[in-house]
Amino acid sequence: MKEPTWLQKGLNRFGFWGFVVLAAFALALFFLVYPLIGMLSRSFLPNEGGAFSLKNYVDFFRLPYYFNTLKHSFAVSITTTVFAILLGVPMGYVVARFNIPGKKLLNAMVVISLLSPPFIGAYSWIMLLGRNGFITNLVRHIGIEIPTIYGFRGLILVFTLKLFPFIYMYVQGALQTFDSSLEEAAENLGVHGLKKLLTVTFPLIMPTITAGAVVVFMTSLADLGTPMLIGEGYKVLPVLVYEEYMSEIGGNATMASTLSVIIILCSLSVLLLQKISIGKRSYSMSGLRPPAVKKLGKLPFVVLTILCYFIALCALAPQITTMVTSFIKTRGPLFVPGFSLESYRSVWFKLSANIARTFLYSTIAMMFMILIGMFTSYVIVRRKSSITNILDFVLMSPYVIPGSVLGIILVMAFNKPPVVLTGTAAIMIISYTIRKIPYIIRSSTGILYQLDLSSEEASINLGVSPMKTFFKITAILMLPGVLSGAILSWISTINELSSTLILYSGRTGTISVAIYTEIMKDGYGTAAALASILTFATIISLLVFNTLTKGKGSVV
Amino acid sequence: MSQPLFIEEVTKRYGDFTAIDRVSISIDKGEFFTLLGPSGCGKTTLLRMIAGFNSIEAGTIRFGQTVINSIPAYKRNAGMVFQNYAIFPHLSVYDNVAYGLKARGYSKAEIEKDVEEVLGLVKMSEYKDRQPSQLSGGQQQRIALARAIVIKPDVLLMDEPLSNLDAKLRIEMRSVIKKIQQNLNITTVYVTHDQEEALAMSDRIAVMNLGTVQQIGTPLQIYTRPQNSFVSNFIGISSFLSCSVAGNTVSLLGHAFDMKLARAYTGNAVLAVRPEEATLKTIENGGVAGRVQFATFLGDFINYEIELGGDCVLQVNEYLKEGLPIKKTGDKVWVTFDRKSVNLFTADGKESLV
Repeated sequence: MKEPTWLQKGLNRFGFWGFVVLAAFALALFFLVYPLIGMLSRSFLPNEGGAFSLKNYVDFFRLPYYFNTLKHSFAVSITTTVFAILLGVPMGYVVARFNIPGKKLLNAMVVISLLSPPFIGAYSWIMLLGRNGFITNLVRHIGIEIPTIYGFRGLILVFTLKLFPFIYMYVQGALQTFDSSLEEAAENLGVHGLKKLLTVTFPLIMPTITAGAVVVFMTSLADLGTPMLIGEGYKVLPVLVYEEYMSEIGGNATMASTLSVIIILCSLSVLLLQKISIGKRSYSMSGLRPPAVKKLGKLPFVVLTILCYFIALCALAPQITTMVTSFIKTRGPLFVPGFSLESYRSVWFKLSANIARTFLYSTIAMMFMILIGMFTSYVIVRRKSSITNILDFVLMSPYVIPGSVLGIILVMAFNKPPVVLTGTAAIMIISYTIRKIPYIIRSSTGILYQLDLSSEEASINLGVSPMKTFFKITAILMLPGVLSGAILSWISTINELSSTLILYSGRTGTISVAIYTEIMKDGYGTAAALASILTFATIISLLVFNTLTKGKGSVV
Repeated sequence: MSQPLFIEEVTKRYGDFTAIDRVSISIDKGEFFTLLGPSGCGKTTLLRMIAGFNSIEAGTIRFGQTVINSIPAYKRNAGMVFQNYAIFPHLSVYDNVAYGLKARGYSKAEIEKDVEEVLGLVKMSEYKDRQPSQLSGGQQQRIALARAIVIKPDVLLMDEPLSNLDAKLRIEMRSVIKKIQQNLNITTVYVTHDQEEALAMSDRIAVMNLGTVQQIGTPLQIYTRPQNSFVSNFIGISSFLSCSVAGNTVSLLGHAFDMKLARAYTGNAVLAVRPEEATLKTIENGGVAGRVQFATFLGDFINYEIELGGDCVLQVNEYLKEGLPIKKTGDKVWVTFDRKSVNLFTADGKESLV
């Protein structure tokens, strides 16, 4: 027998998992850390080949042109978060605790509205309430002028209806696993009604509410498509980043880099603020005996039922609008009376490549996510060390990077030799994968923490090596969970616009880009048809998700 | 093939904390050996060192002549039954049991023969196509046992296997496990904190505390002649009474009697009395005077707590016999001890004097 070389010996000792850690670090360093560092250093180098300077940052805080966008962004995000809480908490409470009929239908409506991209909401509300909207024109006949929905008001309308479902779903989920004996204890001690809600129920679900609020805040802060369509003069940070980047193309994009750093810092501080404010006050409840559903009196029953369905319908309005308008006849940019499949026909002839590409890219990205979810979450959970903790931290960082910013830093990092990826499908798939990594890692590690270690030990004890045990036992037990996480990521990937808008080229446009450009060209019919195709794909994927998790999975 | 097991001067450390401190145990081939102790005593740690899931910091563990310290867990051939059974949820009963055989490269025919045989042994033959989710706790337990013994392990390791079962099933499974173990003559290391289980099942027991072995012996030895007051207190019920010893004479609350001691001793000591080792009399008979503090009716016997002056409280069981009156709180009694069976320890409880 040949003596193994030092290389083989080293590899044996290093092992498969050592290789996984190394590969994960290499990929993260190349595709995430290196571009981020590039952005950070560019933000301090305002002049080509120049020296380190704070000029960009000083300009940002000195010039109203820049600084106002920060004020606008915060105004929009804070107002949206407040409204989303005011809408989501009561509705979540009412649906969880009272006998509202058709809860499954109600939740399905909310989930479907949640999973479509925000900018389609903007576009639909423009079609309904915009300058030439259906409702606007309808009420104009009877002499009512609808106030303009462009600018601040429109942003709030679209974001609130789009994002309150997060709060609603979180609150409902928390209330369903709520341990009813706590409320019973309060009543036993003589506290009931609103006082019980304020002293026991809401404090206990507060961590859940703030977690939802952070998602709402960060999503409304990061979204690019919505303010581009409906923001008009009211400019927010992502729009400014996009415009600066577009005007600096070919140049160094130094101001865009500075703005990107600022927007990342904003998301990061909000996230940290929530973590600090919650601190150790997170409560896990078994919910062995969830609270009973109470019967409402006749009048409250009717009022609350109508109210809940009305809100859900408003949330779903974009999907309904695009579905309906996709079948309306068009002449050029105009809708004319009567129904037809014209819009779908023109999609089929002009844009079928975009549809194929969307599904292709998303599927490839999903495969990467499954691979990464399986392997890296295993090393993060089962091979805990300071090195894997760092890996965990690095892989979570995309959580605070808005899509458009990620797009820009990838372009800036890979637009020159030795590695040129701009304009390719690869860079888009990389961007999709990076954006969803935090979610896939969280859900995969969550599953692993739940998996009892003794299954793996039993396999090893029966004579199967640790490496083979991973494939024969651990991976198979993890797969349903990882897969369902990946399907949710797949849904948000087919709907992705923010980074796609930066990264796409003529050969790599996706459905969302096509919808966006069609709207810009007033091709409302084809945009509606494409949006409906997206909604349809989303619903199908949701059904697959539900089968996989046997109805037990949570979308948020 | 089953092997004797030798644990020699074995130590396990977690940082500064010593979980297992120079433990030595020899287990014969085919012996049912139990590690018994309170939670945190190191019994599971030691079992997992034998299985290969915990490293061995010092000392050696041998299966027969083979030192297994550096053999990875998956090559040790030590079948293990886990506390929560660890049945693979995605495999059928048959595939669970066949898992270890497949890993060993057995032919399909051999696997089928062995699995059928072992499923017959645990009386689960008709369940072989079931999924684990369709099995009750007791049935999962039988499958876990079948899966561990079908690979013909050198030693069988069991980690509190009955702790998740209800009381009745637990007693039934005791004899199932014991009979199969005897039939196969398989060297077994069994971990439990339940003394009754340990006494009922074991050939020998090691009582452990704080990472060290307190006593190794047969159930009878451990119950009747505990080597220190920890063992005496942990196994069964003992009342501890302070006394003084001079030569062979034990003096206790003004009462003196002779005992046969292992060595001459003079000084303070502790008398350990089990509830069945004392007799109560309602008339003065030269025994220690006391008063009934509390009486608990337990069916076939009554448990009395007798206050003996000072803070000394003694528990005495009295079986219901015809004509024997039931005593009430406050009744005066005189207590005598069965001098041949009571135990006597040095004042620090570390050494037995009988």
